[in-house]
Amino acid sequence: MYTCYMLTCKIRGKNMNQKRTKTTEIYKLGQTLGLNTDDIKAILRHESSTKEQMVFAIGPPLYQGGYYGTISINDLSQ
Amino acid sequence: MQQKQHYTPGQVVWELTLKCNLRCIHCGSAAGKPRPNELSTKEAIKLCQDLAEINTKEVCFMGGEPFLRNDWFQLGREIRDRGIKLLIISNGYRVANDTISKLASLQPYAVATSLDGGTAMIHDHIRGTNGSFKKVMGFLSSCRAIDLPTTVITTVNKLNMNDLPLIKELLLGKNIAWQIQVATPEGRFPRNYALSKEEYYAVALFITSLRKKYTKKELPVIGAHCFGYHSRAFPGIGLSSTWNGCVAGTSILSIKSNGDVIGCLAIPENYIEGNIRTRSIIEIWNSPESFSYNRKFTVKELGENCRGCFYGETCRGGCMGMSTAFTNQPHNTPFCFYTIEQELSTKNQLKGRTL
Repeated sequence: MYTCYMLTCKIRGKNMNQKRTKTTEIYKLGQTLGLNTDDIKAILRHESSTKEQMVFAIGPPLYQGGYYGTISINDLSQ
Repeated sequence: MQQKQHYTPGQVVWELTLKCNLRCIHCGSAAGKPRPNELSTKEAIKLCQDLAEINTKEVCFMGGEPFLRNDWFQLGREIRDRGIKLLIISNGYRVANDTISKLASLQPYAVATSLDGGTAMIHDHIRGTNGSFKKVMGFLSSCRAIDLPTTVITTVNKLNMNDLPLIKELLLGKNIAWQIQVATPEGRFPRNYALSKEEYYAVALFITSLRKKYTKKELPVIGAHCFGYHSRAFPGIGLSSTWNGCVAGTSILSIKSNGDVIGCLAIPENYIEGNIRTRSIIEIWNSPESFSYNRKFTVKELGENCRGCFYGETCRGGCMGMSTAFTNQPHNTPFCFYTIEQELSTKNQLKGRTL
């Protein structure tokens, strides 16, 4: 029986044995950055009604700032 | 029949010189000495004219250290006189007395400087020069004193990741934009200092927590292009809630100090499209053959990390710089929230139920 991860690997032709991301490690690292477990859980549970969008507009993708270069405070205050 | 796309450069990132007065551990350009045969002032002015011709919206001067080029102010004026927004990234070290007033007269859209540690110990170590932390803090104060739109860029690696909370304390309430980005193993930066996937995801958690805790006025912080993509937990960690693929060569254009043209300064030299000494930037930008890795991308080009992904067609394998630096392949970033969350969610780990 396939787990979800194994199935994903099979579909995507990925190596199932490659190192996987560890949640415990993420929590530990988050805590070293000043986040407590509840903060982290709250963020990770924010499953997404506001999920990152894809835009299928006609035309090339547009520059939105924050790329290899710099953003401006004026971009952020909008 | 496929409609011909019309591309406009949103931001042109221009390496004015490779000359630099610091030797940062993470420098992707391995800056220090100027490139042989850097553009003359006359050639650079012609480039400014041509950039206006292709309707460039913003030009970002970087280096090396752009202030080490004697004609930086003249070129800044050429840019501004053509109605193009000007952004400048400096290391903030040894800035001449009159630089701040010259900057102010150009009315820049952003003045950015690098801050890679919350204390002198870490920042100076990464920057390879004692006293650079003090200098950069002074530069930030000078910029804010006359209300220049100021940005701090922090390039995160294993050495400074734990300093992020300290840097936050330095920037809180100062009305300084904070751009957090990931150091990639190119140039001088050794791979063993690069973040792991867990560290990468934890930094994203940190950014998200700050965005929840503070208003944009208190702490305007974003993750750069290297933080993404299609996360369930933190959508829109950058400026926009959308990610439609790397924009190198579609709305970002980069120029090296010797006139080489490339979609992004973070990608390898085999992606150089030409040199403005032999073909104008107008010709290169408008050529149907240019920047084909993004302009003519097909899902067949996705690498192992991204092949078969639901978002593959629009995402195009995340940031090209990250992808090529870590895997030597385009369209194959190993750092992706969507993939990480898929791995985490196999045992409901994402919700923390295993803890």
